[in-house]
Amino acid sequence: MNYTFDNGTLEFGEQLFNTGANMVSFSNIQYYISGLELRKADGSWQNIGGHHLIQSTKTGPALITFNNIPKGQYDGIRFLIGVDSLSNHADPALWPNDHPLSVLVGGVMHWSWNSGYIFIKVEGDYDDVGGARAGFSYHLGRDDLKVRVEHLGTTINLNSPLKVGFNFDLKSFFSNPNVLRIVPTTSSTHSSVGDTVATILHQNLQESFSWAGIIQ
Amino acid sequence: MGRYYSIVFLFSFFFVACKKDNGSPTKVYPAPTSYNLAPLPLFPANNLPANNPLTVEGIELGRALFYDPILSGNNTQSCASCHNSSYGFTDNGRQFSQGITGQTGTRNSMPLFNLQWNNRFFWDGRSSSLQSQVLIPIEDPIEMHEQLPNAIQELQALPFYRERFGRAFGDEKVDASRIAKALEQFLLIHVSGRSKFDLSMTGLAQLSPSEQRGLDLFRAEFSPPGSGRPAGADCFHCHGTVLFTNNQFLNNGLDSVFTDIGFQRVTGSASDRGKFKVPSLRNVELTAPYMHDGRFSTLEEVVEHYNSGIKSSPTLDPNMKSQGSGLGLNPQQKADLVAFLKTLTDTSYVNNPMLQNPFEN
Repeated sequence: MNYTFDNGTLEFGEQLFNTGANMVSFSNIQYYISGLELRKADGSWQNIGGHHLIQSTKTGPALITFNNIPKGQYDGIRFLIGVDSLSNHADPALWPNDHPLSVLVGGVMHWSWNSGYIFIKVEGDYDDVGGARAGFSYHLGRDDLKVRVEHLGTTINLNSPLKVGFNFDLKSFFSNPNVLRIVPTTSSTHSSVGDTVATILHQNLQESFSWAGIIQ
Repeated sequence: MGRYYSIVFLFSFFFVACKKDNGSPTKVYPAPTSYNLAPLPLFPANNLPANNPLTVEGIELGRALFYDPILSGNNTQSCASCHNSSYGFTDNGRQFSQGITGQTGTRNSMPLFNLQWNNRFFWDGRSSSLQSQVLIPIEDPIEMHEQLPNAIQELQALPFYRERFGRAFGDEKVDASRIAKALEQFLLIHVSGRSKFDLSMTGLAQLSPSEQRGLDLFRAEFSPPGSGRPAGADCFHCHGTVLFTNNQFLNNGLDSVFTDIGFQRVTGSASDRGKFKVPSLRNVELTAPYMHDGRFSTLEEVVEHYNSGIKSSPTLDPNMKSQGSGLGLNPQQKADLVAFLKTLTDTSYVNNPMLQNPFEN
């Protein structure tokens, strides 16, 4: 998974980027990908499943590998940014300790014992009024805030584990289609019901992922 | 030396007859007895080291070593000197521990429980396994200030220990690896998960109204003033899950300028400046003073820090940066939060007979 800003390279740390409303920098992005499906020739979807926690602050592959996919020809792919409802509300202590949803791996993404996982975190700094630096912290979760990413029309002849590449563009996250102006009252969200910041970013998130191809 | 002879009776229950004792490291003992560490409700599965399976005999050896000052340079301090069970295995309410030469350190003694679910140890995470961690205070010149070859020699000279190393490891050889493994085994059975809070989660206890309000604040997100949303203390980001820690290294706004750079010392990365291990909040009532440098004496001071005392710096945790000047809790909310934190005290852990000093019982 590659991170971009307005289709250019995104660097974590001190580098500033212009969202159109604020200058921002990024310190942490983490999110879950789950529920991979491939579209078969007859139009039905082959469920692959699985959960992946993508952690920006760690050096890692730009591509996600999905194993155990039946060989065959497919012409579409889709998955969720987030966690399916059943897994979202299961006891995190029941997963194996090395599973992305376990307390030990996904503990940083779990809200409590009942309400489920943070699907995506985007954290960093912004220029506050008067030029001072302040922090933003956007955490999207809740079952209805999952985002389905779908790409159709690419023929995939699968003979080996599938490596999927998508770009996550952070300028879109802040501005497409809704421009989020960051001020103290909009500098964080934890996806409470009725939280307009969460609604804005959820809509933007659906426009923030683009297909970057596959490697087999 | 009397302790070593008196405790022979205590341990004799576990003794298994072996070849006649001639003091030789080649003396062979039966295989040790496997120890089953019972899982706790709602906790992750046990996460024990593959190279050091728990055994009854290994744990008992580790327990003796933990409480024995023989591991210090002048035989005056044991691990327990700075990790007292009555204080959640911390140092008797002291800000900094004093070593055998009278020198003091710069970090507050850390509690010892649920260590199997940690992946880095010490406030700055400089040790990546419990097995490697346990030897470091022994040789640290401002702590126990011993040289391991000396400690090994002293232990090897005592029939009490030769026998216990034999029972734990199959022969009487004493070496650093075995000392580390025995101490690790003893520390791994320091499990804490039966607090009032835990009992309330399974319907065996009920939180008071104040404690419940504190829990609700603990789990509720911070809401910026003017957002129209109810207040929250936002504790769960870093102290979430049943472990009450996310096991990360974070900067929680104690300073703007750092005299102790913390995790950066280990990683070398400027982005880790002033970051320290997020401690579990279990038993926090017992483990004062607080923070890596023990600067806060009470839980009330800790809560006030998060409420109004956050200091900004480039590595400040983003969740705190977005809180601006602080949480803005009122006095009742702060009191409720403290009341909830005290429900995390687990007396069954600190009073567990298996964790107490074997030379005194």
